[in-house]
Amino acid sequence: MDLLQQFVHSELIRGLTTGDKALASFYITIMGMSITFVALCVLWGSVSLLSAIFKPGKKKKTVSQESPKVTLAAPDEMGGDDGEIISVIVAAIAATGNAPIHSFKVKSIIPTADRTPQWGRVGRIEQLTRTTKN
Amino acid sequence: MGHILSQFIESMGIVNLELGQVLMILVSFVLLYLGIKKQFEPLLLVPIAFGMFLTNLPLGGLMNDPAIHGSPGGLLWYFYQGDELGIFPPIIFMGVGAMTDFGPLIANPKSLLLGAAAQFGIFATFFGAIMLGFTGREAGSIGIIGGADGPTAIYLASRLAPKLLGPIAVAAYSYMALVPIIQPPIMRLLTTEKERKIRMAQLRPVSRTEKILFPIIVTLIVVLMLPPAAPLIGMLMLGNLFKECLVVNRLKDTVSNSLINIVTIFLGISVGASATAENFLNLQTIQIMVLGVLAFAIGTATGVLLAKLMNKLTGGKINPLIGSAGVSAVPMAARVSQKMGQKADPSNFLLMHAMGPNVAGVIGSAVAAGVFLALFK
Repeated sequence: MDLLQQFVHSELIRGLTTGDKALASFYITIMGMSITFVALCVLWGSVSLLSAIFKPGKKKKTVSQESPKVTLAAPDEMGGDDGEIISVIVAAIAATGNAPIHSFKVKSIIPTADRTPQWGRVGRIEQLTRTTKN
Repeated sequence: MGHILSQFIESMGIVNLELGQVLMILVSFVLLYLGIKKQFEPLLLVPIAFGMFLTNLPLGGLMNDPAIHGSPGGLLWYFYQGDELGIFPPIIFMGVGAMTDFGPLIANPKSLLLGAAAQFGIFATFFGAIMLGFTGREAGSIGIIGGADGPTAIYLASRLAPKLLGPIAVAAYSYMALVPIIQPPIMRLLTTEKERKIRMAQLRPVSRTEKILFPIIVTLIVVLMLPPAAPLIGMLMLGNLFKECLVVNRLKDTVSNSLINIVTIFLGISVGASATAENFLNLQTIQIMVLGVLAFAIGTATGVLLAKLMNKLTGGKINPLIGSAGVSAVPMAARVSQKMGQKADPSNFLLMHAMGPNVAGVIGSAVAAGVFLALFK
């Protein structure tokens, strides 16, 4: 019986020598990886073909930010890690405008001055503290 | 009176508690701790750990097979039929498909190669398991742990080596939960600081037509090549079609919320319940745990190495950190790539780029499972 046929048989495999088992499992390792690669390469080719046919045109509806400035406030001023804040703002614009994140570019983020009265701020902090405690 | 009292005492669980059960209960407590306190994959670890806890309490009979112990059988035995018959994993895959955006993969289809490379851990571990004396069917089921895909591991083990289902499922889900601990040292070892700082070009937008056609084409190609992969790939892609076609939102919401949650409860608790002391506390389990982590580490390493090669071939356009995301574990593996990239350069965002190989890994591990099913059916 062929080595591989014997190998795939649960009962017959026990009769194989260690060398035979190593050889057969090596064959299967190479064969398995090759099949996986071939399958995914065929998918790569198909997806590329699909993209070539149905790729969206360059003229897409975009949501643009008007401000020409590219300055960013210091992280402390923005209240934390600036990268994280930019990601959150971009995600919020995408969600509100129902537009994919690739379709627009955020050029500027300028924090506005907080005009909340002092009493308002105290109230907000009290609310937050209460929620956290609960 | 004395006789009744002694009968009652004999029927108490505490009198029948064995050392193996005590050990398994302690293991379940450790898993509960990891799930609740450390929040390692709590949605999976909590039901798995509680299932393990319940099944090891003596005389509960929760996993009693009605054919052996008489009707009506244990509650969890009935849940377990969903694992053993290969019903739950494809349903979970349908939910995963409905939650997955294949856009980054369609925008950068080269990612599929990284998803394939990371599967090397599966086949290398298969080789190792054979050398340790496991049969081909068992070795394939153990190797698939390296795919870092719990439902695929459970599906394959239920088909090829049902006796090892408990330890394989526990190993697969535990290592998935430990992705942020296992992968970073390997990624650091195989990449330079300069490579980790590479910024990748923004991905192109993907049209709705591409997104709708993608699941149909993947199903067609993979199932025509590997028919045994049909339940996993078919359900994954059906879920994704629900998401992308935008006309069956109610179905999409159901499979990605209620259905996947219900099935996760049943699957988690019944997989945990299969880890009884007699099934779990043996040399094979230790071997499976060691082989599983090796599979994972090798898959991570080969993914990174292929990404390094692709980076060289493309003239420095690919950050090798995204290669490790090829071991499915969606989205934890992609998050690890993102975190590692940001450690090297805080303004570098690799998440979307890593999602490509990450979702390719899901397809890759289902294909690898199809290869084993075709070979050892």
